[in-house]
Amino acid sequence: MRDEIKALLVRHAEWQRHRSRLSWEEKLRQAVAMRESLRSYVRIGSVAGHSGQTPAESNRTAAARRPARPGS
Amino acid sequence: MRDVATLLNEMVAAGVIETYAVFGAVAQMRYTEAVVTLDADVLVALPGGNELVLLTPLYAFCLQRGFLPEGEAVRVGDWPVQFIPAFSPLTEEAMRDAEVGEVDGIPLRVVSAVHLAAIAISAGRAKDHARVLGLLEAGAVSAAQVAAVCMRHGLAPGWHCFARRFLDER
Repeated sequence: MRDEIKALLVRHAEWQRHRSRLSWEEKLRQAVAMRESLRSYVRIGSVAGHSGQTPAESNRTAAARRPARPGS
Repeated sequence: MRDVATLLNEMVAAGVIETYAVFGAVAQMRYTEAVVTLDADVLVALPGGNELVLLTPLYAFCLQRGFLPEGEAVRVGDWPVQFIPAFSPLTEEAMRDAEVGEVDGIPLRVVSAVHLAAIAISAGRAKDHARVLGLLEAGAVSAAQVAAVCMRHGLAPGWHCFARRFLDER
């Protein structure tokens, strides 16, 4: 592997470790931002006929609509 | 999450719940980098037992403070919160032995990394296995520690399945 690529990967790994070391509060704020970004992205997709739900929400809706199996 | 922490601590003070601990992705982020999640999962111990019907006073408490139901959850600020009565000896132990973290200066009880991993092993879905891997890679917990809790709670098959797939256990 070329040295500069190796150095890039090392820096990338260090950046990932840095993200893990952020405070819990900061990571929770990041999670909210990521969730809202995902929602916005899906909303844009809804213009083209998508339900407007995130994939996980869509799965939950589909599961709720499914008739309950006997004994479940 | 500050509003969630405040609400949960007020519930304990008011006797609506005996104790609580956040788990799931919100707890995971205490130990790993941030992950995408739709909601915050909270284990609760209810006075008088952990049957679902006993959640009614909890929802009423939320409503009094203006936090409205949203599907299976209650919307508290930025977070839909799912209240889940402890449903097994493992989740009861996880709640009892929870650590106390802090969010914007407010204490927030959170299940330990090892209990979080064992709960994920008990669920056994792909995303749960990814959670265990994340905790191991972050150095938040060791495979031996997770294995020990799994053995104590009858989760040997689930642990061995995970270990064979991801840890090269023969």
